[in-house]
Amino acid sequence: MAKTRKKGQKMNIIKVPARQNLKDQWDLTQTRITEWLQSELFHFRWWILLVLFCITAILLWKKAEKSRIVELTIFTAIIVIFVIILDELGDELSLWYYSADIIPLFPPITAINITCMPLIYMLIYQRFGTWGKFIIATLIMATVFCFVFEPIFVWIGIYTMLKWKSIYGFPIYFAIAVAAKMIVNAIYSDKEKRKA
Amino acid sequence: MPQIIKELPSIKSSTYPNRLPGIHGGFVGDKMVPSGIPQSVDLQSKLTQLHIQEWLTEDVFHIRWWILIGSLTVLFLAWYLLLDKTKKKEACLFLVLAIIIELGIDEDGEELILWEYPTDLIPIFPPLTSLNLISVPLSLSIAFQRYPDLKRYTAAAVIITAVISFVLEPLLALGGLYELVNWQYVYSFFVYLLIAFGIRFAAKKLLEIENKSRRLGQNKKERAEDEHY
Repeated sequence: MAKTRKKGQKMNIIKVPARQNLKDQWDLTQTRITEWLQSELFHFRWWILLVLFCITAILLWKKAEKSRIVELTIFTAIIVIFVIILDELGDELSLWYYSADIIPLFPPITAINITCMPLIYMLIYQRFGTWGKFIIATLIMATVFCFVFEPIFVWIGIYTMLKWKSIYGFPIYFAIAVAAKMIVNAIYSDKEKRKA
Repeated sequence: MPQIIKELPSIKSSTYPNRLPGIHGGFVGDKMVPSGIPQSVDLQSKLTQLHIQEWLTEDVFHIRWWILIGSLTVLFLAWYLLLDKTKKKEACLFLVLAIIIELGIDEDGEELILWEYPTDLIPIFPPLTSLNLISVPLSLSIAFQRYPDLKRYTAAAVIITAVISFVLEPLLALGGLYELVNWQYVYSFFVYLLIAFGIRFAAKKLLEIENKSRRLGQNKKERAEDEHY
C-alpha cells in the first residue's frame, strides 16, 4: 500500500498517513488536547480533580489492611479495569462526556476512575466479608453514586449525559462489584479448600 | 450489508477544518445536540461511526477476523494451562496490574496514532485486537510465577519481550493485523521490558508487605497467647 505521508498540522513529530480513520483519529486527539489546554488545564475544576486524586491515592494506601494487601490489590485492580473499559466505551459511543480531566488522553476522568471509585469499592470489600453484607453495602453505594454523586458532578459541570440516565448506571455499579468479588473468590478458592 | 453502509453519511475530516473548540452545536450520531458540547465529542462520535462502518464492511467474519478470534482463544487457553494452580495469587496480582498498564498503552498509542490495528475484533473499546499487547501481561505473569528469583526472571523476560517485539509483531504486521505508524519494534521492546520490571517490582513489594504484616500479626497473637497461659 502506497503511503502518502504528510506532516501533522500542529505537532510535526507525528506523521499522519492519508487514511480516513487515522486522519480522523489524529483530528480528534488534537482537538482534545487543544480543548484541554484552553479550558481545562489549571482551571479550578482541574485543581479539584488533582487534589482529589492525591488525597484518594494516599487514602487508598493508608486504609488498606496490609495483611490482606495482595487480595485487596487484585480486587481493586479488577474494579479499575472494569471502570476504565466502561468509561471509555461510554465516551466512544457518545453516551456521556467529561469536561474536565487531569490528562487529555486515555483514561477518561482519571481521578475518579483510578482512585476515588476504587477506594470506595475497596473499603466496602475490606469491611464486609460475607456476601449478604457485601451486597447490601454495594446496593447502598450504587444508590449514592447514581443519585447523589452523579447529579453533583453534573451540577459542577464535570459530567454531561448525552444518551444516558443515572439509573442505567445502577445495575452496572452493582454488577462490577459482584463480578470482581467472584473473580477474587475464584483466585483464592483452592487455598480455602486445602485449609478445610 | 452494503445497503446499510450506503445510507450512512460519508465522513470527511475536511468538513471539520480547524474550528475553534468550544461552544457550538453539532451531531452526536444522527441526532442534533444543543450547543455547548465540545467539538471533540462530535469528532469522537464520527470516528466511532467510521470504525463501526469499516468493521462491518471489511473486518467482521473476514478470514483475518477468524484468525484473531482463534489466536485470542489459544492465548488465553495457553495461559490457563501454563498457570501453576497452586500459585494463582502471584500470577493474578501481576496480571491485573499489567492489564491496567497495557490498556493505557494500547489506547494512548492509538490516540497518538503511533500504531494501528487494520483489522478489529470489535470496533470499540476494549482493544481485543492487539494480540501483541495482550500477550505481554499473559506471558510475563507466567514468567513471574515460575521464576521468583531475579536472575531467571530477567532471562525469561528478555526472551519473552524480544520474541513479542521482534518476531510476533513483524508477523502480525505481515498478516495485516498490525501496522507501525509512528513507531518502531525497538521501542516496543523497551516499553515491554519496562513493564516487565516495573510490574515485577510492584508485585514483589506488595507480596513482601503482606508477608511481613502477617508475620507481625502472628507474633503478636503468639505473645498474647503466651501471656494468657
